[in-house]
Amino acid sequence: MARTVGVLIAEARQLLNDEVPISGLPRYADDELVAALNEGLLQVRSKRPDAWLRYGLRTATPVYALPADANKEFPIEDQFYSPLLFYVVGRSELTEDTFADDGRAVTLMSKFAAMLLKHTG
Amino acid sequence: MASTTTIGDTPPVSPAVGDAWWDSVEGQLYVWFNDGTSSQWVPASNQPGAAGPSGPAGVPGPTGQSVVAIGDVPPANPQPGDTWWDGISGQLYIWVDDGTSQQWVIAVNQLGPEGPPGPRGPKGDSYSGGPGGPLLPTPELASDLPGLCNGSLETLYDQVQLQIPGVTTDNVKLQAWRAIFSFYTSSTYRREHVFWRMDPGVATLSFDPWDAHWRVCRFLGFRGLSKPKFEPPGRVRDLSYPIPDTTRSGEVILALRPDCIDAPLGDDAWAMWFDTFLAGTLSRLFMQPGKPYSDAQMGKLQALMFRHGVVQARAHVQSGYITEGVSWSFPYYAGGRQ
Repeated sequence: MARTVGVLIAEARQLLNDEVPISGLPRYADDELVAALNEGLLQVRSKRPDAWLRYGLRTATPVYALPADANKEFPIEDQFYSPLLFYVVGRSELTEDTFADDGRAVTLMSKFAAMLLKHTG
Repeated sequence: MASTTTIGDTPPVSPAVGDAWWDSVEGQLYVWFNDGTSSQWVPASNQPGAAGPSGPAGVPGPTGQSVVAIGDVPPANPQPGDTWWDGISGQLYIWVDDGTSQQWVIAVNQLGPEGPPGPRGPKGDSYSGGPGGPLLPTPELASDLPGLCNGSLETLYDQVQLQIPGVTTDNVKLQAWRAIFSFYTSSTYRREHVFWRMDPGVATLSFDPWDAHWRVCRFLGFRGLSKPKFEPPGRVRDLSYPIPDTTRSGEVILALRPDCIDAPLGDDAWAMWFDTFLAGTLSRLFMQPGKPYSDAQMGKLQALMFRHGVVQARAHVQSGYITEGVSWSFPYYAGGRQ
């Protein structure tokens, strides 16, 4: 399965246990999740500029929107896919919500930073 | 009878046996050859053979005809298109006028970059036992694993990414290129010896770029002008005033550097200096701050290994590529306990 923006958002929704029910609306709208992804890309840009060598270090970081960009390929190397997935989930959990889990949010946000910056071997 | 050499996009008409044609489109030298039944143009592959006894310089041909000369020294007063087979190095040169200067340039066909490895062939039938009885199954050799033969860029990238998880491919490529570039500029590992000629009224010689992949890095030796001015990277200007109306000639030794990452480095570079390229790449990556793999100590160690390789390469090329190798100590344990 190709790693695309839409697939990443779908996986984030699975981790958030927020898949679209038969009736009713999900807790997190696509716009909210994709906004978290766009912010995560900015974080990667500042923490790991080497991820953007091919895309262009002096090229504006992409800003995605759904559903228009659902099939756009993940713009950087695969090794940054999981950290960004954790970032999207963690940042979404930070939202003040009855079902939000602050502890999980902090864990995932920390994991995102650790995967980008720390030697885990 | 002297053979003639023609330069052009199309072969000359009515060639004689032994005539040469330099295809200016393909950059290929051909010789008109008669094999007893037919005549055709065959590529002059310019393979250096065993050095034969040195012969006298060839006799210049009549005016207007190119001359193929064989000898230890270049022929005097060559004309554009003349070729000279250096009896010492086994190298074929051609006298070229590029509009501003004239010089002997190597008539060699550069190999293109190595293509990607082909797909693995189908597995053969298993051995079912011969007349001598069944054999134990032979373990399959990992012959399809890249990097088991002499190095290449892909092997270098693989080695780096094996040792540094989390590094991006583009970053590896960037630092590998810097390491290879630094290796050639610091060690002057690739050197070229050129005999040049400057025509009356001409004041500059330019050796840069050397070819599509290599640029001149620096001058290592020069002879032939009383007042030369060296203009980096590869131009020489005669400061004599007025500009002499005589022909000047001499020789120069140039150090070359690759112009881009796809420059063919040659099998000797990969075979002998692969670990140096690797150390240079690793040192640059370890020294980068704020990465999961940042490690100043490892960076210093790899940088030391890289510098050691550069020094070795420089000594190797300065000795004319003839060295016995690195000095080594007899293992201490082989002498027995004291």
